[in-house]
This record gives sequence, structure tokens and C-alpha cells, in this order.
Amino acid sequence: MARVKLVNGAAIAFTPAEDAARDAEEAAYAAAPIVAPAKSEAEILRAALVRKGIVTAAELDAEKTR
Amino acid sequence: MFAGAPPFSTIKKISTATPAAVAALDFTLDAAYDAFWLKGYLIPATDDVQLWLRLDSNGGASFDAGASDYGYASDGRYGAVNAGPVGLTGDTKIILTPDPGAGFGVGNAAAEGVEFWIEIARAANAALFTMVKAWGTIACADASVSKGWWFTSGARNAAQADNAVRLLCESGNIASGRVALIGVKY
Repeated sequence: MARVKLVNGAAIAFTPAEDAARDAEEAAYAAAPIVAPAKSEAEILRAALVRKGIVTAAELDAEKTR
Repeated sequence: MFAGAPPFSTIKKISTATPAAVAALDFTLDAAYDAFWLKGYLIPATDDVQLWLRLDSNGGASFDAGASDYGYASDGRYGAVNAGPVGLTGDTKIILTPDPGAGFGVGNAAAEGVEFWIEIARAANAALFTMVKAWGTIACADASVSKGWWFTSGARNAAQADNAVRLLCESGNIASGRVALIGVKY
């Protein structure tokens, strides 16, 4: 999928030159990724539930003391 | 309230952007202003990435990304971890959020991200380096979601009239956020 930039609020496709430059940067990042420490399954599940809007972080926190 | 370019000393919000799944967030800079503030927050699509800034003197057509285009220094503290001090005399971008290692880039979960106040000064004066100073609060990608402050100050390494600024992540898209461009005339 083509990359998009938001310019003064308007979505515009990357130019081929911008796309190529960004490809190189993404490749450099992929070649030497900074990997976050492994999260527990509970942390991953919590993040996924909140991200998808199924529950809020506050509701999950409240469950800890119920 | 007047419209258009400022005829006198003023602070004016020029525009507000709400990026969603974009690779870069660009603003053109009106030479009628002496300085600009970018106030807002961003959440990256990719976990554990730095927030970058670039400038352009061609209205956003070709953001400067040469190996020695920017010089800057930064510092920060994320939870129990020192994020700096860091300094570079030449780089392809200004890294706004100093990165002390794995887990201490910007987190991409729904409640994480980075909040900032960025000032761009002297951009329109072709005889002066465009200077950038920025500070903000980060929610990191590590398991503890370390939070803390960062401060970065630097400049374009060439004296030129810059008229566009770009925010982007080290890798991947900007997933979401809200950023206002504010012009300052003094």
C-alpha cells in the first residue's frame, strides 16, 4: 500500500523519491530492530482489549480489586 | 479576529491536524511568522520507535535528510532509566525522543505515545540556522510502560530559509494523534 503524508491536513501520496528513501530507512530499522522486552500474555491481552475498545483500562484496573 | 498573515505581534493557531495511518505529518511554514509551535501528541503504528523531525526549504517537496544536515543534543529520563545526554554534530534528522535502548522508544498501545511542544525559530531568515527546541512526555514501549521527560534542542546545519516541517516515526506510520501548528509574530 502506498504511503501517505498529511500536508496541512490534506492526505497526499508519497512521491516515488520519498517512497524509496523511506524504504531505505525502514530497511535499516528492520536490519537492526530495537526489540522491546517480551510482554507477558496478560499485558498483551490487556493492551489488545483496550486497543479494540472492548473494555477501558480503568475497567480492567477495577477488576483487580473486585 | 483577523484572517490571513499577521500584521502585528500575535500568537495564532494556524491549523490542527489529526493524522491517522500516515507515514509523515507535514506543515508548511508561513514566512509572515517569526516562530512556530507544534503542540500535540502522536501514537506510532510500530512499537518502540523514535519521533523524528525534518525541515525543508522547498515548501515540503524535498525534506532535508543528508547525513550531516542536522546537529542537536538531547536528554531525558524515562522512569528509572536515563535517556541521555545525547549529542550529534551531523544526522539525517533530529531525533526528538532520545532513545537509550530496547523498550525505550515511543509505545504504540492505545494509551501510550508521545506528547510534545516543539518550537521552530528563525525559519524564514536565509542567513540564519533554523533552530528547533522541543520537550515532551513519553510513554515507552517497555513492559513497565516507563514514563518521563525529554528535551531536545538543535538546528539545521545550513543557513537557509526553511518553509516546511515534517514529523515522522523512526519506522512505520503515525497511527493517530492531534497536532496544532501555532504561529508566533513578535
